[in-house]
Amino acid sequence: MKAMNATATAAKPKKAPKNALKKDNIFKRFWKTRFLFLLFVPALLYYILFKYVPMWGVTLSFYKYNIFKGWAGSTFIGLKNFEVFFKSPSFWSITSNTLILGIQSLLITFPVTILFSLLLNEIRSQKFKKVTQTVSYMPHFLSVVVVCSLATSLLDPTQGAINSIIKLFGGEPIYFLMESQWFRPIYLITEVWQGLGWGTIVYLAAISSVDPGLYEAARLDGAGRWRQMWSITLPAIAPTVATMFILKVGHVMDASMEKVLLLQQPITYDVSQVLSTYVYQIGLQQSDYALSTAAGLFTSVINLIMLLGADWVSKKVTDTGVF
Amino acid sequence: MKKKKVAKYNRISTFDVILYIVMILFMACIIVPFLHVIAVSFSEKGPVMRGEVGLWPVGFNVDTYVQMLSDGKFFNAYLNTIFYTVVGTALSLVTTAMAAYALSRQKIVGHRLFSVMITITMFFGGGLIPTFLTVSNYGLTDTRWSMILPYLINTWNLIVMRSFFVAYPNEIIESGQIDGLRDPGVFLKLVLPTSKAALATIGLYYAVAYWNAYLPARIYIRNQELYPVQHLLQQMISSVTGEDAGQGEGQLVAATVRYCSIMIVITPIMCVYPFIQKHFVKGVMVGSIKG
Repeated sequence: MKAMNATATAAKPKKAPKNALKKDNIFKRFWKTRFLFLLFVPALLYYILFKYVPMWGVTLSFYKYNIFKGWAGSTFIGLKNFEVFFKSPSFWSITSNTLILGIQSLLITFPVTILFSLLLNEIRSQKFKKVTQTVSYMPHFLSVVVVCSLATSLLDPTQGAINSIIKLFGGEPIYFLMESQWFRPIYLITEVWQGLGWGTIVYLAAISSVDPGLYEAARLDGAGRWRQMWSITLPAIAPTVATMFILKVGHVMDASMEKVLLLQQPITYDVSQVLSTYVYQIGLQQSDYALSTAAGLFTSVINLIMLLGADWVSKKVTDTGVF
Repeated sequence: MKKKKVAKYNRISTFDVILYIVMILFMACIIVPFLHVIAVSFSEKGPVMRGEVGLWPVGFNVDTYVQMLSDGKFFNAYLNTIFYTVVGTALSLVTTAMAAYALSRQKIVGHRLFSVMITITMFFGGGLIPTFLTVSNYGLTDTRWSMILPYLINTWNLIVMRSFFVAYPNEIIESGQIDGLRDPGVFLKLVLPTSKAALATIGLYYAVAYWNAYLPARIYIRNQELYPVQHLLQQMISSVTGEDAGQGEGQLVAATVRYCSIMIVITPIMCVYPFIQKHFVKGVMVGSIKG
């Protein structure tokens, strides 16, 4: 008791200066917390140099960039770059390809992930569940290059395993990556293969935070497993589902640039050229920096609109939102 | 009452059976491709070309592995990847932890400004070309630093770590202050040493990201000596599809070479994976629940 009193009184004078922190002017406060500020400095530098300076570079889309004269020598041409971009023959196919890939993944990957989470939760044997989870997370750790190399090799017309199986059944080998009709399925399959297991983590966390007492009560009332899932589990994870959905909608135009880049072939450009790869080609292969930046800005703006839009809708419908 | 409960739980319904079958099929979809890759990589070239190799090597040999591993380019790329991963992870972890701690202490000047500043970058960015031009203007193209510096801090990791520090028990910090520690001491001698789990988790996230990095090499590096192993792998794969297709012997060499390269690139991660997988999952859960 005595020791506690001693520390209590010793603590008091320490607390007083801290509260006084609010009354100090900004310089005094800064000096008192200078160490913390110092800790943040490297990060601050990073964000300014590598995140905010490039953001300023977005204004490049309003200029006709002259590589030789650099910034200073470029002429301001307002929205001309955007005009060129919107009027280019491939604009619609590029935008719709991007949208389709994004929506396809939203419509298929998203519900499948939730369904898989629910199924995982229903596994009775903890050991089996752990094994399944461990195996399912594994593809997430492979690089984009490895996954695409794997896909490319397996789909190879002469030596790939898939075509070997097709030949076994008497069929003709298919050169999958060279045919437009296969691009979207392949993209989707690789996405599900790699992301399904990992995607369940968030939902399983939400599911496991449900009070087991609810399940008990339901069981006593005679509810079967399906009923329990429908009435208890689903409503419990609804907020998580909504949040994840909003975030995904905000990224619907963000078709994985690297993956598309590695899976696309010139022959399949009619379906495989998306905004991000277009930005890459125009910018880094054709060096039309300004046009590329304009296309990139377009993508960012659409993403932002979709994100805010989805958030607004979600707030209206379910009262949860991200912002 | 007890008997009734036991009876109910021991009954395996058809739903369970179907569930287990589905899960096993799912796991097979993940494991079987790898079995095939391993089998081909250890097989003789003839059977590979004829498509005879299924899940087991035909004509077991390690010739292609020897060929690949003694290739200077591959070895060099591996060293590069190790460099990028080790140095990158160290730098990233240090900067991120420092920044996360600083932001977790609400008394820091500019607290709200900085928080908003980093959150914005999650939704809006310069884009490919502005970032590329910026990095070029800093003179980083074709250097090792182009693989590290532009990616030094991942905002999501920063936020997760900040959540962790925010949740750090205040009582411990206060007792440290009573003992005479001030801000530097609290951070270095108290908080950091007791936050090893969080640091390890975030460190692993960064390490995997650096190990798997591909795009930075593709856009910033021309010098083959600096290529990370992912870029080399990609070049190898793309040079044996499309253009070289249908050239008989040349193509033969291609398949085993391809699969061996893939195996060599993924083996380190696959070996470490079972042990570290637990940490990753925890990290995501912290991030999703608190962030």
